[in-house]
Amino acid sequence: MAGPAARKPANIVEQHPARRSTFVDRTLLYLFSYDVEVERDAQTVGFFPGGVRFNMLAHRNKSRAYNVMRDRTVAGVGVPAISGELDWGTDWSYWREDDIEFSHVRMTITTDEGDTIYGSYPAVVYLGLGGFRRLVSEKDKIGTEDKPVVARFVTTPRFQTSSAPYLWLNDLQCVGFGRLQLIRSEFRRISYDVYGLT
Amino acid sequence: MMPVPFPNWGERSWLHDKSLQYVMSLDLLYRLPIPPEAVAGTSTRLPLVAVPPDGEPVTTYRTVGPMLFKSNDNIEREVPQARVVHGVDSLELKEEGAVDLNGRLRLEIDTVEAISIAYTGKLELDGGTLQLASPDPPAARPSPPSAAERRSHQGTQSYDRRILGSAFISTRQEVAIPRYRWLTYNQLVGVGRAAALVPLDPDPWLLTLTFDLYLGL
Repeated sequence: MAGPAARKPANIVEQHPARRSTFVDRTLLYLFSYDVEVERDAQTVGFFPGGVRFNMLAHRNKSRAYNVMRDRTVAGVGVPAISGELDWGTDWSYWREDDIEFSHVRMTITTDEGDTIYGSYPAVVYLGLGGFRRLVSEKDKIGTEDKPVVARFVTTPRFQTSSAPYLWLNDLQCVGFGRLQLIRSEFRRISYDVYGLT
Repeated sequence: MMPVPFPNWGERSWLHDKSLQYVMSLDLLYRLPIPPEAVAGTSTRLPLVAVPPDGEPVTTYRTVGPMLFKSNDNIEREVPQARVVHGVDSLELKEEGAVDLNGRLRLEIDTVEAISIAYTGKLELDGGTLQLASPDPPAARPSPPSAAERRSHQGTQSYDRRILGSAFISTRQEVAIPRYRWLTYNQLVGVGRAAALVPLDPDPWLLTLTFDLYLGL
């Protein structure tokens, strides 16, 4: 007995997006900045096949999130600007022998109003040709107190919070444009501007 | 050894220089499970499986110019024109707001070695992402059909509506091919658009993600 005629299944492959010749609109929305002083005694996990792993901590009393314009709201959006202490921050770093650093950064910001914001991001950093060897070498340290080496970094943080004034952060993929100071091959200071992708 | 005093960094009143330079575009088509298979545990989690393109369409390309990327150092680097052969993602759906993207892709080019891309990010759809698991989705905002839809839907319409949205990702690449090795050294930022294709049953939902990938400097 013949049943009802079945509809022909869709050809899914044909639904592929067509090749574009235009860009997707994009905007960078400045959110806040933060400066981090790195604790001097990094926890060295040690050498592994392929690289070296160590963990860094943010100095609790010398790390802060703030708005460089001292605005009370995020320009153009009207939500509260972020200002507060960066009271927990860790960077679990893995320097690979092929001169690439992979980091997992986690942090919490306690705002001036007492709200807590969690942030995290993976980072990929090119250490430069021969950078791994130079960084782990006991000789030829990179940067001095008088002339610290400053490197540019770009990160992609995301944030989570349950605090009502900052719930808008949960929906954003952010980009951080930063600078990192190296003194005697140690990370000392990190400074970022965080933007939301919209 | 005397500890080195920290200079007073203070709080800046200026922003660091920034720029995003276009590297390539990344277009993906994901197939979603049929709704009864969507609920996993206490959350509504959807596994997404990438559909490899067939024939001419490619997954990575440049919208303009040759397949070359030139950064601030003025060195030209080759950009792969690759095709996804395997890809997975997983969405934990919510009634409103953005949900996390966390996918892995394997792309092939004209060599034996593949390109691996891992990405994380955010996806937001008009009306919330929970409707992706609904067997009877609410009416979506009318939108003009894409070129692909116009091409394929001449008499055999299978997807009559689209739910539009936005997606933003950061990507990490692992490449063994020397001419594309530079991608391994860099994290890219993807700015994109999403469209959920609402099926006429019994076809599966589809999700298209189209990104422009930028290198931050």
